[in-house]
Amino acid sequence: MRTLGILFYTAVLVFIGLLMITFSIVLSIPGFGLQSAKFFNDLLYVIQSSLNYRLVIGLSGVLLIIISFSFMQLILVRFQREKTIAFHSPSGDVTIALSAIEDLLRHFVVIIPEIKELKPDVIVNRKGNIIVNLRVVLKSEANIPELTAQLQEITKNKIQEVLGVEEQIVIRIHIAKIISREEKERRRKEIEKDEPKIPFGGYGRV
Amino acid sequence: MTNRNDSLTELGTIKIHRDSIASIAAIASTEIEGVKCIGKNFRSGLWELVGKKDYSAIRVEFDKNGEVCLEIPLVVKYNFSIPDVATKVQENVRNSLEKMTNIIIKDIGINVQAIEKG
Repeated sequence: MRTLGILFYTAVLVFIGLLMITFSIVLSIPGFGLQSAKFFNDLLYVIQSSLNYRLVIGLSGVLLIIISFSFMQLILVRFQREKTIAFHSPSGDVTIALSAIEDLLRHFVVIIPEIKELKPDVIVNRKGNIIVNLRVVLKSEANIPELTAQLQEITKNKIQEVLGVEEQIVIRIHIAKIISREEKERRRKEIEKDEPKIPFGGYGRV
Repeated sequence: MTNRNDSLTELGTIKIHRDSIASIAAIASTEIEGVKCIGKNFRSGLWELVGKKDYSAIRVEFDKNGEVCLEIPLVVKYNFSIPDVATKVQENVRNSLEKMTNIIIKDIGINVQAIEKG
């Protein structure tokens, strides 16, 4: 059914493409006499004067939008299916979106206080191994070798615990930035400076 | 492919629409601890904007023998084991549907779309 749908939409798009190519060829041949502005004037006049023509054009537009949305959905579903981890259970298949694993890893920012920012990217290679790329922004007080080892250990354990998978998990950590204490202070001051001062803000009620 | 499951009794036919099956599956799924909510698709997202519940994201298919295949998109809570939650959901959905509708469930697929804090 899905293949049929994709074939149908492809046929529609090919038809539109062919129509446009034919139109451009016809316009470039002088014998047809379509280059003049008068032809387009007449065409627009005919369309504007007849309610049926306007209706047909409007409905074609709506149809095209609906077709494009359905096509987009079909492609997105297929694309999403490719980005999943699947395992079987007696009652049926269980698929886990890789973006769900990325959601899981984002919570590590709360667990490890030295991490300022974490952007995970999870991929599964053809052998079925899970590859986790972590782009990390650290605070300056962090000990990098210790922290990365800890992060790799936690990531591996968490994925195995939550997904129940035994496949090999490769964890690559890329430290993108280290935020120093001075920079943090500077940012804090900038934020404070941007905030409008409240007149008589320092006085309290007695 | 039909939109409903028909069963014949002495008094007449009982038709159960796929939306009813999807609703039962949704309720049974959210009963399980660790399930945050049912996942969304484009249509259910639009209905949610209007404040209406729509379970069109749950795919219900009937085969020629009248057996039902389901695919349920789920959002799972953080700190829960996905295989455990998925298995419990499959069992609960199967039990609820068999108890309420008497239909034969062939397959219940679970699709974990996201993980969120509970």
